[in-house]
Order: sequence, then C-alpha cells, then structure tokens
Amino acid sequence: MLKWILLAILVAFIAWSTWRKPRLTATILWSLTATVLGSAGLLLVLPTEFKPTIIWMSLATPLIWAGLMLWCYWDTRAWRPATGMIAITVLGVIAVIVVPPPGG
Amino acid sequence: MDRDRRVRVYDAHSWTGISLGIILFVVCFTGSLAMFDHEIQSWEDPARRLAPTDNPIPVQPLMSQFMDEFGEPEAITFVGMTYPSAYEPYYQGRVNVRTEDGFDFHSRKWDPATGEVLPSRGDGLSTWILDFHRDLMWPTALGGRTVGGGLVGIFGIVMMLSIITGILTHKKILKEFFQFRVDKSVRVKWKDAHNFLGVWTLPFSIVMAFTGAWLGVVALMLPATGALVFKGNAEQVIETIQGPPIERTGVAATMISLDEIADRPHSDSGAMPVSVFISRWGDETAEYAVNYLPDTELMYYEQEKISGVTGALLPLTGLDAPSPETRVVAAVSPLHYGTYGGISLKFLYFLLGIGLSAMVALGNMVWVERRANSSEGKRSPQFYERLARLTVGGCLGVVLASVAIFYADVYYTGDEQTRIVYIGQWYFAVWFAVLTYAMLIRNSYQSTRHILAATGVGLLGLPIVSAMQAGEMPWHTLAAGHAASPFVDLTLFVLGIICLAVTWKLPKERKARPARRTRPSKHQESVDTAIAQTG
Repeated sequence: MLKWILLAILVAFIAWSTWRKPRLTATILWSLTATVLGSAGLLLVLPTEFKPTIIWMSLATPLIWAGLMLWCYWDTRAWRPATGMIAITVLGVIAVIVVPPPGG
Repeated sequence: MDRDRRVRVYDAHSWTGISLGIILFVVCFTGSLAMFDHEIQSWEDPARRLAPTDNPIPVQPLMSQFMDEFGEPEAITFVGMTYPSAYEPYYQGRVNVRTEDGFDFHSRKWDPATGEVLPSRGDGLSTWILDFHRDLMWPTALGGRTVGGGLVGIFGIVMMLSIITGILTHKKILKEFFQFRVDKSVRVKWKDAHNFLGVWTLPFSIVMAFTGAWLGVVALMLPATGALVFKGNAEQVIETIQGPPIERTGVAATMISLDEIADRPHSDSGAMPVSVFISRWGDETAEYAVNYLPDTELMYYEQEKISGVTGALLPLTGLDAPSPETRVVAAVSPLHYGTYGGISLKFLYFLLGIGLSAMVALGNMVWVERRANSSEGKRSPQFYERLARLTVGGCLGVVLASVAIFYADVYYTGDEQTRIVYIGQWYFAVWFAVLTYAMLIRNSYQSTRHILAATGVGLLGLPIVSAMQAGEMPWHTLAAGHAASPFVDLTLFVLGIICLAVTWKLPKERKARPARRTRPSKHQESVDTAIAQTG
C-alpha cells in the first residue's frame, strides 16, 4: 500500500512540476525518459539488424539527450518540447508493451 | 537568432555552469591527472622500477604454481598475463576464482630476470586518481561504481549542453580567439579568459564531453534499454551483442604455454603481444584473447583470438568483430584517455584538461562577479560572496587534496588492503578543510593566494619526498632506464613553480573601481576659461 502511495505522490509531483515549470521539468526529467524509452521503442520498431542498431543507438544517446535538453531552451513555447518529449515517452512505452522482443 | 532565444540559451548555459560548475571542475581536473596513471604507478611504487632484461625467464612455471593455489581448474573462470613492458617491467598474472560467495580476484607480479615475487602493494594513489575521475569512488551502499560512473556520464551530458549553448550565445567566436584584455576590470579579464580558454579548448572539450558521457552513461543506459526491449531480461542484450556464452565441456586438455604466446607475433602487423586473457583454462574449449598494440587503428588493443589447445586462429565475435560500429566503440576510450600518441599527446591532453577546468571555474566567477557588482544580481551581496567562496574552496580544495594524497601514499605504513581507504580519507579531509577555510575567509582573493601557495609548496616537496622514499635521486632512476618516475617528479616540480608564480602575480584584494573620468560640462569649461583669463 505504502508503495502505491509513494508512487502516487511521485506522479502528482511530476505532474505539478511539469505544469508549473514545463521547460525545467522537460530538461531534467522528460528528456531522460524520452531518450531511454524513445531508444527502446526505436530498437523494437526499426526493421534493421538488432546488434549494430543498439550499438549505434548507444553511441547516439549522449547526442540525443543533450539535443533534447537544448530543444527545451531553443523553442519559443515552453510547452512544445515538454509535450513532444512526453509524447515520445508514451510512444516508447506503447512500443515496449506491444512489440515482441527481437528474436521473440 | 532573436534576442529572446539568445537570452534563454544563455540562461541554460549559465545555470548548467552555476549548478554543476564545481562538479564539472572536479571531473575535468581529476581527468587531467588520470592521464598519467601509468607514470604515477611507477612513481608511487619504487619496487616496480626493475632493471630491463633482454632474457626474461619463462613465466609458465611461475603462473602454473600460482594457479595451483586455487585448486581445480574448473574453479578458475579467468586467467590473465601481462608481459613486461617499459612502463610495467614485470610479469603480472591475474586469476579470477569462483567461490561460494561469488568471485575472488588474485594478482601477482614477478621479476622477469629472477622470477622473484614482487612485494604486493594495495590499490593507492594511482587507483584513486583514475577511479575518482571514472566513478567518483561511489560507495557500494549507494549503488556502487556503476551508479558513480553513470553520474559522471550525466555530468558529461550536461557539459555537452553547456558547450552547445556556449557556442550559440557567443556572437564573436573568431574575435575571442585572440581577445584577452588584461588591463581591464576583473570581470572583463575573467570573461575574456573564460571565452579565450573556451574557444581554444573547444574541439578537445567536445571530444571529452561526448566520449566521457558515453563511457559513463552506457553502463547505466544499455542495461536499462535492454531490460525494456527484452521485457525485463537485461542480460539478454549482452548475449545478443556478444553472442551466447560458451560452456566448459569438462574434457581436460593441455594448454599452450604463456611463453609460446609471448613469442607469437600478430598475424598482420607483426607486433608482439602485450597481454593475454584466457577463458576456460584447462578445458578443450579454452580460448586465448591475445592483445597487441594497434598498428594504425585507433583502439586500445588489437586482438586475436586463438584456440588454447591447437593455437588456431578463431573468428572475432561480438564487440571484437570488425564492423563500422565496433570500430567507433573501440575508438572512444583511446580518444578519452589519450593513449594513441605517446607522452607528448598526454601532456597536450593534460594542458587542455587544466584549461577546461579553469574555464569552468572562471565561468562561475564571471557569473558571480557580474551579479555581485552590478544591478543584475537579484540577491543579497552576501549570497554572491558566499558563492564565490564556495567556488574557490570547492575547486582549489580538490587541487590541494590531489597533492595531499601523494604525501598520504608515500607515508602510509598500514595494511595494504586498506591503503585506498586511507587515501580517500585524506582526500576528503583536505578538501573539506580547504572548503571550510575558503568559506571562513572574507577576502576570496586572499584565500585563493593562500591555497595556491600551499599547493605550490606541496608540489615542490614531492620530488624530495619521493627521492627519500626510494633512496635514490631522480637522475639515478633515469640512468637506470626508468623515465616515468623522474618525469612525474619534474612535472610536479614545474607545476609547483607555476603555482607559486601565479600566487605571486595574483592581486591580494579586489581592486576598487577607478573613478569614472567625465568630460567637463560646457559651464565648467567656461568657468575654467574665465579663471584662466583673470589670472
């Protein structure tokens, strides 16, 4: 029960901080989730060979992450990068749930 | 770029610096020292400075005797041998043994001329310098080295962001290559120094930030991504990249001698082996991974895999198999640690690393100075003063602490297993003491001079202490064919002189702003003329 209460508090805090400070929360949190889940989703969806793709993806990770952080400050509208990154995260989650693992 | 966007990007640049500037300084500064971990190994342990020998004795009997201490070959999961080299003029054997609690790692060194076992020395100075840079020596209770390495990787990502935003906000990068107005105010001087160092170290900073970020983050992100892709089975991703593990068949076989491997040149380049790592020792499936110094490729080692029984070449698999992506991965570490160009390249990396560290610290000081002494600052002057002291203590504290652990390592007399703990205690104690001192002294200029002077004196004393410990002067060590330790002594001495020279040149306090010279008003001019005319 305690676990669920803590999870609910965390989710509420993320929602509140995204609402109050979309640019900052997107830089600190959503850029990370979008990088990890977006990479995982792409790995599952791309019709390329898994081994070279994951190695290239790992090499691109620092660039993607820093690029997403920059987007937060580049875009005139604070909500656009936050929404974009939340969308990438959600799409990544869907891909992880729906698409079977490579070779599976 | 429009003004609003430039302001936002500049804000990102400032805030990444001011929130993580001290940590970035620590990572950059410790990385500059970590360039010389091999040289420092020779400096810290005089027992390693053996006379080079042209006719080393066979190592296989020594290694077999060592391995017999661990019982059946089945318990041994891994065997390693590093052959004598200029930096490490001894045989070093490694054995990893499976135990009831997990794995035990054992290492032993032998004199190649006599076969005598060299005294065992615990991890100390060089290990601390390298590992503190790599993973902050992150405690096991808080997640261990993987978490520490991941954090350093995240700092690398932040550094990348800081570099990109820095490039975007500076309109006159070409001009900043040559602009250093030493006769201007403190703020302009620091700003020019920050920009000057920034543009001159830019290609180096980009390479360091990217490779450092990848080296740190990949250990965290790859298992995380793997767990997501393989629905919770993170191990599966390693197996997919490296191929399925080969199991022992249990059929005993005679292994190729380690001395035979030592004389086996690379099939293409003709280079001689540096080291060999053996899997499944004593089994018919045994595999030797023989490492050679690369011929032209940018990588740590060029590897050949051979059968441990027949000596036949085996195909390279996994990350060792040559392909564009594995070549890029193999280039990351040499690029980060500057292992591909000898000692001169290490020196260049060191200078650029120190420049990068200074740029980070100066960026923080410019931010503080700008707000403390103009209407731009929204907080109290005391806040900015404390921030300045924190920057001085945090940055210079790690510099003096790094010098202090050289002394701690020399004068340590306790159990070898706890040497690294003692080094760590000294490191943090000195860092904390310097930080406290900097926070207590109101005049940051004065505290900077004091800490730098202590660092300079400390550096100058180290060659003397080293000579006393080894019982021989650096030139005698050099004459005996060991260049690494005298090289470290000379570097420490020169750095000490530089520190004292900088201390001498630094101002003792912030210069008061010169009174603004204003053009006299027309009324004043007419009054002056009238006075002159009337005599």
